[in-house]
Amino acid sequence: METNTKIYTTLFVLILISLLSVMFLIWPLFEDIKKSSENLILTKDNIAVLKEQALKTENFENNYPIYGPNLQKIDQMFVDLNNPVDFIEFLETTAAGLQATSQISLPRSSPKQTNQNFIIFQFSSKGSFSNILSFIKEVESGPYLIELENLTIQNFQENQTQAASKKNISKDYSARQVEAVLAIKVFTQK
Amino acid sequence: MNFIINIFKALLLKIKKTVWFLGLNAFWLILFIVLFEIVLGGFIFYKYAFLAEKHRPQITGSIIEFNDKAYRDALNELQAR
Repeated sequence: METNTKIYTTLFVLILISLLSVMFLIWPLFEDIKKSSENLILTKDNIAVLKEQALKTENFENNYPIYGPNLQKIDQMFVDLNNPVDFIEFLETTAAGLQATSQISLPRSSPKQTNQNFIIFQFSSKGSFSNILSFIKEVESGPYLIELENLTIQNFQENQTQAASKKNISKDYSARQVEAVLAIKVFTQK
Repeated sequence: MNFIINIFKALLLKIKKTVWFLGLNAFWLILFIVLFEIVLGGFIFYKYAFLAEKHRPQITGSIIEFNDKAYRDALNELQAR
């Protein structure tokens, strides 16, 4: 074999070996080092998160005897989403106690579907103006966490003339029979 | 066509000269490669081992914790009734 051919062959073989070792040995090794380094950082972060979570949980556990009874009371302020009967009964009882009628309509869409933590009840009632106001006060200061979204009050005595109505307003407005429509936002348990 | 062959021949000649030059200075070439390897190894070690080891853990995920403010607000609301 000629010297030149020997040189070229050796050169070719060496270059080939170098390229193959870079492709199949050095590069995968480098990628492994990179991945291991990233995993190490991620694991460290995860450990820190878990430690922090454990600390917070431990703190909560230690303070639970203080929080516990109040948490139960707070929990009762929220209406059970699956069973809002207690709240409806509360509305009806309060309205009945004040000689007012009550008609409640439930929301069409479930809060679970809309991912809300409240439901809005449409409540309509007929009674004297003062009783309706008392009803609102009682509901607001009641055991449930609510917010009045909307309130519409209109005259219920249709047979009265305009003049008589004006006279009644100045004389005894609180005894007038009115119809009230309330949108009550009730916060629910998650 | 001749033009391309001439360019190819010139390139081959250049490569031959370069390889010949490297062969003549094999000692310095090996020394350079060894130094390059040391620097590259050092860089990889620094970036992927030393810095990863020194990395200060960061709390990036959401931690479930007791919302004390909400608790106090709700308690105040309860006491106000």
